[in-house]
Amino acid sequence: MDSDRLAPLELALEEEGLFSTRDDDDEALRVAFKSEGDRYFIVSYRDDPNFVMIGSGWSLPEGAERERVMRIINALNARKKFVKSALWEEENDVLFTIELCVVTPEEIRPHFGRLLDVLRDSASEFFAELRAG
Amino acid sequence: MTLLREELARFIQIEGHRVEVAPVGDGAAAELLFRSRGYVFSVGAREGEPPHFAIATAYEIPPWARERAQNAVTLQDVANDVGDVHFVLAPNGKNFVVRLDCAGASLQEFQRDFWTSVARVREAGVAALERILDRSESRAAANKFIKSLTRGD
Repeated sequence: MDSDRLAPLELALEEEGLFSTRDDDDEALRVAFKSEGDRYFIVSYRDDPNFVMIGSGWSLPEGAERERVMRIINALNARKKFVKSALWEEENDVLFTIELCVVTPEEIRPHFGRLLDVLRDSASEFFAELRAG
Repeated sequence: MTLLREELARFIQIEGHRVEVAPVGDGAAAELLFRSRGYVFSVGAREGEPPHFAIATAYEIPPWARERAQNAVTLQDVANDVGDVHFVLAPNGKNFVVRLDCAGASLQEFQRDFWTSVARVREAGVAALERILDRSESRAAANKFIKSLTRGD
């Protein structure tokens, strides 16, 4: 498979004025980047070249109540376009991912800004709701 | 000694963004340009005790909504609502600049609140543009209504 498969998304990041780093291995192609200080990633698996995931992971604050976290995540999943939200209990993290099936990641490039916005919004709405108690 | 602009540029880069730096005037001030969420932001930084910082971005007004006198009033209304954010309408009425001055803040304080300040500028600009467009749309609708009334059936 073409090892430059994620190159169009690296270009999209450049167009957004963001730096990115590449970290590929035998299993996956990965791009990591930051926006406004928050960390994001893009992953494409070598054995599933049509799948592309853009995401971010956030630590939950100490003492966050599991039931409450799940209720907020469920509401986001029901309401938000594109974004899948999940509690990753092992790490006490909440994950926001956009999972896409594409012929080529070039298809994502014109929509990249919108997808990044919705990822940011999901995280900020999650934490705003969590803080609201 | 590290210049303020260099420290600020490094901070913005560490936060993930490409930055262009240009000295302004006598060199005590500089403008730093970066992109975030599709907008280009300008950060003004002037050396001094205390230093002076400002964050600004520009919005283009669609041709059909460029009524300069009305838009100046609208921007003033929004400025009154949002507090310490300033608006400057271009003389040709094609665009306006939103600026937040952060006078009296140290570099550390400015950096701590940096993304909140960027968000305030962005949100104020979006609110102003929406209000300009709302007024234009409602005016267009009113004009159509008035025309249809005067034309009669």
